[in-house]
Amino acid sequence: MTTTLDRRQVLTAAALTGATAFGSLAPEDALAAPAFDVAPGAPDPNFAEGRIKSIEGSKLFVSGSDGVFHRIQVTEGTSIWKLTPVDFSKVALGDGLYARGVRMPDGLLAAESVWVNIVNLEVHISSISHNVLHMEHFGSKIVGHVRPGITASVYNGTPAVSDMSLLKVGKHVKVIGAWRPDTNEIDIATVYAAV
Amino acid sequence: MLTASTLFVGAALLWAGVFKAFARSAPVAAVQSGLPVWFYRTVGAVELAAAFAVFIVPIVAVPLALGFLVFLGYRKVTRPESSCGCTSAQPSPIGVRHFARAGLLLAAAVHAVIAGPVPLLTAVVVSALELLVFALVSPDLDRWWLYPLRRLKVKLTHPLADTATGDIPLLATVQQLQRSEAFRRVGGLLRSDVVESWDEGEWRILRYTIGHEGKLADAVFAVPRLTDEPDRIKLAIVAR
Repeated sequence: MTTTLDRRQVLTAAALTGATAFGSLAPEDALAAPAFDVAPGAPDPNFAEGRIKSIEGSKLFVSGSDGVFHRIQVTEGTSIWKLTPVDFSKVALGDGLYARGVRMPDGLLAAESVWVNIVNLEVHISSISHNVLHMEHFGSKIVGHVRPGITASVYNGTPAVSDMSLLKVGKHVKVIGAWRPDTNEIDIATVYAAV
Repeated sequence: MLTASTLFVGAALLWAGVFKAFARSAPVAAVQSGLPVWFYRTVGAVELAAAFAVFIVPIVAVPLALGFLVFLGYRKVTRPESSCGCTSAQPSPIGVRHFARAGLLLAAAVHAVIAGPVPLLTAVVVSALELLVFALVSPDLDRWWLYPLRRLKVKLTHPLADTATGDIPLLATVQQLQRSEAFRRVGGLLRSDVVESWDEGEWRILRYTIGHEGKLADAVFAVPRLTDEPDRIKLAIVAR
């Protein structure tokens, strides 16, 4: 934990002074970033999706919904989203994930970003109880848990706020959340609503 | 002379028939309940005819109501995800309330055949009560009475009051970052989503992974946490 804190202090100091290890970065460098080079209709080799079957060290073994088996390597630089950015220890067996990275010659996916249990749902709110939104998605019932301090609301496309009290029963909303595996329950990350 | 339930049976069939035969959203409802549109429209026409015929030949409603109940059971077994589509195009998987509604209609249709005539006032009152129960078990009508009640409950109990803390969500910081000059300069080089973030006084620090000419490094942004000033956002790129 001490090393994490030290590292954070170093990075904070660097950010506030604006140091850069790449020398000067001109805008054209950013535009010269590698283009997306997957043929139309072909599977993207740098993407993986599925449920976690086993975890060994920092490797994830994932079976895709199309039957393809993926080996995914997670590193210090990999972003892991599970309701919020988390570290690797929060990833659990049985979780679903989407991962993007670079496919190694031996088939291993060196992950750059991993989104765990992420769902994106268009629903209508059928009822609201204490820190819970009861939602319906084409007639299926979904229970959405509000996590004060984490859950955010975006009203009419304005900047996200923590206050959810403008949500109304019967209204349609779009919800980004983290699925609780094998249930109809999610933890809500963001609600997009019109008010 | 009328039996106590005849008016109700007529009204219920009229409601369902008008929707199936004339509503613009009827084709949607037909698809949701897994029926061809022409068949669905025909059922609507038969219901409309029966809604009036029931006053002359009460028995016509019985096979129709029995047919609905059998169809619901059959659909529930063969395609559990499909909607009833009985009186609206709102998707709602077949459940207890749909069976209760179809059962009520069947019971009333049978009653209209076997019961003796009653005075008009009694017939109106009984049928109105039956229609009320019919409306309460119809999921299609929830938004007219159940949702307003639930909205009232929310207004009185404030179930989401805990969230009005004034905390700044991470997403708000990311949205501000994405509008900044610093992000536009390096956005195309970022390889990851937010790896981690922490607060440092008035700043919120976000760490991403950035790649340039084959090298990976940390891109660390300092974003004003409590104000919206994307021009003040600072960026450092730190080697690992």
